[in-house]
Amino acid sequence: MGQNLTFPRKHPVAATLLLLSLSGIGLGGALWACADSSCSPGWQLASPDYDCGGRAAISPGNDTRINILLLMRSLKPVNSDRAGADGDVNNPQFGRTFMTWPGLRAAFWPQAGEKDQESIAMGNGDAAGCAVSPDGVAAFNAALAVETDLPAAEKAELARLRARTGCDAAHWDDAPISTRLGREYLSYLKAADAFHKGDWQSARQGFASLTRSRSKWVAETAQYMPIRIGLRAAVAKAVDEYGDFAGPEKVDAAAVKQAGDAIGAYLKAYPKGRYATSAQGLTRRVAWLSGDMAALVQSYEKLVATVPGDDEAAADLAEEIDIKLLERPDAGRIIGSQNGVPLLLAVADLKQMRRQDAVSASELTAQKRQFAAHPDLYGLLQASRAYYGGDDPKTILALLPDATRSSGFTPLAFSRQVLRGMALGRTRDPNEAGFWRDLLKGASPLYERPLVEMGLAIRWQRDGRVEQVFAPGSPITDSMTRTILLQTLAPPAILRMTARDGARPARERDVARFTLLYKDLTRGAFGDFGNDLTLVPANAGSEGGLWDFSQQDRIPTGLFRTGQWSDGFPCPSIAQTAATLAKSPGDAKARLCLGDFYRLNGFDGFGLFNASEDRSMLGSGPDGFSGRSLSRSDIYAAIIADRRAAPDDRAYALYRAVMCYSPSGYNGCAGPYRTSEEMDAAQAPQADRKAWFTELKQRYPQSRWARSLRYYW
Amino acid sequence: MALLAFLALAGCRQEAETDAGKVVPAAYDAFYLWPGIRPARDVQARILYLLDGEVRRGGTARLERLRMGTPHLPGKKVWLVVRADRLDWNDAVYSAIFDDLAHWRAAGNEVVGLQVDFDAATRGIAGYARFLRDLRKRLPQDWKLSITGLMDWSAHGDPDALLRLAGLIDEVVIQTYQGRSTIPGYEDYFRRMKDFPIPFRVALVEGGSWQAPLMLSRHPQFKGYVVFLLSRTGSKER
Repeated sequence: MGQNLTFPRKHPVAATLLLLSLSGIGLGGALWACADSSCSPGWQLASPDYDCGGRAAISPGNDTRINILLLMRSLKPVNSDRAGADGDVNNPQFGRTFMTWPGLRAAFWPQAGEKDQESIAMGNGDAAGCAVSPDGVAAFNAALAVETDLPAAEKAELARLRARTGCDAAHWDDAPISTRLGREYLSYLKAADAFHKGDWQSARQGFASLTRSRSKWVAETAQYMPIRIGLRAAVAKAVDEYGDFAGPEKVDAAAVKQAGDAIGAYLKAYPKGRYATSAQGLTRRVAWLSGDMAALVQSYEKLVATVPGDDEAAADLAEEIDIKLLERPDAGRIIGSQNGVPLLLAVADLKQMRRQDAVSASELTAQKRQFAAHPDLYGLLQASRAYYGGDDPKTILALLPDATRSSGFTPLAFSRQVLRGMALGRTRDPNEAGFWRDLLKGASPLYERPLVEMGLAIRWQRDGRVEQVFAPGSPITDSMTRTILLQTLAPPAILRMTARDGARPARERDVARFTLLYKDLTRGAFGDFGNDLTLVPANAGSEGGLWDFSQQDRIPTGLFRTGQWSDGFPCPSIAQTAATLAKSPGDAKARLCLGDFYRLNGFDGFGLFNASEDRSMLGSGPDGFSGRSLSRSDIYAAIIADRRAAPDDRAYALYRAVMCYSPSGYNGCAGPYRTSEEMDAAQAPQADRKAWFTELKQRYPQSRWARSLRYYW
Repeated sequence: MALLAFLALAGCRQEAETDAGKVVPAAYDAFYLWPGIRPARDVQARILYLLDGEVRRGGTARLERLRMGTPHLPGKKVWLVVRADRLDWNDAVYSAIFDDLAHWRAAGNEVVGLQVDFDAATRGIAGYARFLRDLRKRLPQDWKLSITGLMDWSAHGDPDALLRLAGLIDEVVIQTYQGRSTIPGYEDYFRRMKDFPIPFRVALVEGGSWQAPLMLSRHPQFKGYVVFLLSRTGSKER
């Protein structure tokens, strides 16, 4: 049943938490990454500050987990001929160009598998109380199954007891188990029960007596369990009143040491044992709990260098490194004090570069020796520093030679080329567009191609050639990039062409229709509205609302055909209103009706994609509509100022102008506001609002509007 | 004042730096606490919704516990919250959750019941109702059952489905936010909730904007607010 349900808006906090619950420990740090929709990517290539939208190019602004993973996927060939992923359903505003960490994980590993042995050992299974983990039960039953000397009835009884281990008060001694082997299994369960109930002493003794069990499985597991006992005992008292980890200083150091010793003992006895990977992994937890950051850094470096980047374990590792190391304010210093950790150093350097000049050229030079085996990575670091430090772009071009003519790139090679393209942009190189087109050929459809398309689109935008984006056969195929440009830069002719283009996705065409009609009205192109309305299918929907236009699935183009026209002040359809305004733009009644159309159909505060003023960002620039945007407040102000307007119209304008401030006291008829300054600027002084109210009451006392208005705000 | 609700509705919002109309935790008494988050000193909590764990996608369904230990919060009413990405729970999931409820109570907490935090899409609400009916049957009688709901329910939800939920759950907590921001236009949603048949609370996000719609205080089913607390110290950067 669950699989059939869709998740249009996942709980954003929980999505983030999912990342943090690696081991149930160390949750005290930042809970907020950016899996929430209040966060939008900067639609530009450069990523100088932390950006919640990650890019396929390793860069300073990327989430450190993304950079680690991209780096790991660059070290060895990865098996990834996957087609482009569907966008991240939880973050539609990222399109396919940007990624969140959870989105990236889901794209690389769509069928997330069972957790491996280690995370079972580190996670749920160690939680207090009843811990019937399906995996633990399965392992136990598998062990029973191969015991040929164990009677079937005892096997069944032991399996039954296993399912209740740790859950309630079991009557171990009454169990009908009499064979010696059976009793050993029973002792194992008793010890496990003690472990799950936090009785460390009994658990230790119980397992210690079983390390020479005639069952190989029991003997080996009993040798392994002291590791987990030690680790759990170490943090058992380090819990606060909310059940959260209270901090490393509350950890029981003696228990940590016991765990460390137990790891050594287990690996000595079973160097290739069934828990060897887990035991080795737990050395990191021992290092972390005992504050041995040097050991932790060294083992992370080794793992980054060796865990295959197409194994999901790489993603788990990136998360662990992030939580346990990179989130520490002193992470840079810790990593910098170690030798032979170039990969972590690169990740830390990039993070440092978020603050301009935080990494100097000479500091990088001093690190050169560390990168002897990774010249390409070092070149990327140098070039990134130069780019974000504002150096002459020619140095970047020298550091990163053109290598676009390739049928595929490692993430590192791709990152180098993207940065080269950015440097070309900075030098205004006439061949920049050609460079992006070359790079498209080898770019992976998954995140890389859309990023390159954005680079090309921004160059065309800068050259005033946005029509190239929409030309037949255009290489810009990414729908999000196109819809952003439709909402922002596309002139009327391109909007009409897209609306008619049956080859484009339905949503893209709807965005074109909606944008066209909306701008026809707001920008005063009333004469075009009637004809343009014929581009909207008769059955177009008006569902979906307007509160998240750039992201929402359904674009309510039907509002222009079948919206609400009036709720008191008599108004015809918006098509008729537009026709009237086309003939006489000053017609007060029609203007009031236009205002009512906005008000009644959810356009207050509505805006299309909100492009930045920064010309290096997608969608920034003029759009080919000539008129200035007119808000409801503007309409009412003009009619109030016009003393010759018909009394009915003026009374209604006064009424509506006052109501713009109901009930919050802020102007709800002039948005959207991008900043609080913009919002403040749109506020009429309260004296004006009072004057409107008074004038309505005194000059038009008999109007229904005067009679129905009791307050001003 | 519904200040921020007016700010750019398009796509992503740049929140204005202003404190007017913001949700200040100290003014409330019920809170969502995700692991790692604790209320500031000036907050007097009476009711706490504590996330215990998650039932996630991938592999066999199981409860991933997110708290290291059992809370000890005498004097507070505590809801045990389980977040779910899926509804195909097996016996192990149920017994782990019911065990936690019992443990939390045994530790001296006044545990009210279980809250399931699952984002039922409108078209999934019928299946969700089936799930909840089954859960209600399994859940020992002394626990109440609460669920979270997005505001869309009242906007586009099938009223019959909502009525079917009415007998199954004791409470709905309606979320008004996404991420760190209040969803603009919440006034409209609440207007449509006029006849909502289930006792409900309204979840606000710390620092989000909020102005109570007039109808809310008069709504016979409205039981108060729950404020989602955010990390005090953590930076958003990673």
